[in-house]
Amino acid sequence: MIDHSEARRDLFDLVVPGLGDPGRRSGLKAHVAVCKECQSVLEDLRRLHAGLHAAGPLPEPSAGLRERVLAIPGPPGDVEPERPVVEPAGPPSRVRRVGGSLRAWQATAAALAVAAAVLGALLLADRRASEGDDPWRNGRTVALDPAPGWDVAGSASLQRGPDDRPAVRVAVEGLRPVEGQWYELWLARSPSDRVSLGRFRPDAEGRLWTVVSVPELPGGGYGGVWLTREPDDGNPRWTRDWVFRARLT
Amino acid sequence: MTASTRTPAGFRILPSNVSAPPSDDQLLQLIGEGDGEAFAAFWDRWSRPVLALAIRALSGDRAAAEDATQDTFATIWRVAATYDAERGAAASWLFTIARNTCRDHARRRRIPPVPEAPEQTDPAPGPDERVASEMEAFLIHGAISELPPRAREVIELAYYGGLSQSEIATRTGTPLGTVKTRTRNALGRLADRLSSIEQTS
Repeated sequence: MIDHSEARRDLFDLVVPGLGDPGRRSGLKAHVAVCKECQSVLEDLRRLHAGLHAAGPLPEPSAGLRERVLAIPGPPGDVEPERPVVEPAGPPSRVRRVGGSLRAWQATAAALAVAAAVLGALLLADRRASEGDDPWRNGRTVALDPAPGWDVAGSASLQRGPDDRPAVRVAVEGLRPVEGQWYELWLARSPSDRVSLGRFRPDAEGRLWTVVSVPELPGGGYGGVWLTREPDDGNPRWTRDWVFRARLT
Repeated sequence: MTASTRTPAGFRILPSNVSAPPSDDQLLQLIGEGDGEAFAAFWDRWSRPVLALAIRALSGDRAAAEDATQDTFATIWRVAATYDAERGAAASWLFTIARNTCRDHARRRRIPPVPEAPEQTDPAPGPDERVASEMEAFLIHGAISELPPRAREVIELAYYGGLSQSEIATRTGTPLGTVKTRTRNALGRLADRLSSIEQTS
């Protein structure tokens, strides 16, 4: 007679043809006939056996699919876009010497004001010095870099309108129709630091052509344009489900 | 670890010098934090079950199924941070995302959906049974994907290659006793994995 632990270990032999020793099968069956626990386990194993057959073979993804999927930009995360940091103009001890009776928040506000003035002057000087290299004024046009899995083509460029305001022009074709979603255009300095330029839907032919005025942004470097697919859920964060990108500066 | 261990369902797992891979929950947490390696590991574990589901849901259209698989994983990237292990197993959560994505693709490509309401006299399974059956196949595929390569090999050769234990031994150049041990262990792991998912869901 086979004992319980042996039977439990060998129950698969009653399920999978050719797995066990034929000579032991009758002993196993005799144990199962009187053991409710083994009967229950055997029932589960038979269900698994049938499920394995029913599920069918596992397909292999095509060679490029893994690469395409792993190239999808990562989640937005909780990191807010970087903002220019305004450092206090001097060490706190100096502030205290100038206005010893100021409370801490007054000192900080004063320091920020001084810093903002200094930063503004620096930015102005920088702008004057580099006006000749102004990418917006030069109107550089670049081809779009489609995301894996997207067959879109087109171009993007920087412009300055008659009012001297900077603008981004984008012309693209091959966009898929979106239901319950939008395409959203972004001006980005890095994947975590971007500004939305608006939401769009392509025409019936999958084309999108737009010129969007953009704000003057502090710090510069907002030279990347991205188009992403976004759900119509009111959430201002981006999905990073990108369609194309273009490096304009 | 030098001794064998027993799993919750009582099956024996032979000792291994390979450290335990991260769970789906752990991977999803890392993916939510933007960890690309975790995303790749999650892809390697679940891409085949998702693709199998998509092929079935999209009437065998392989290209559409690959698109749906890609979109499923793009969604995983996007929403992994919202996954809450307290609310159910990761496999069930992934199944829901994959199934919804396939339904969207079917609608977009005008692939005829599976009939919604079969006639009362129709012996075919109803919608609920169909979902349960899809879910079961998905979970079984997921459990197979998590098996170590050698264990997966014997299961696939036995169940999908139609080979007997002796034929597997010949095909792989492995002693018959070793093949049988691997088969028992692999089935034990599958049973335990599915049992743990059922308990979590």
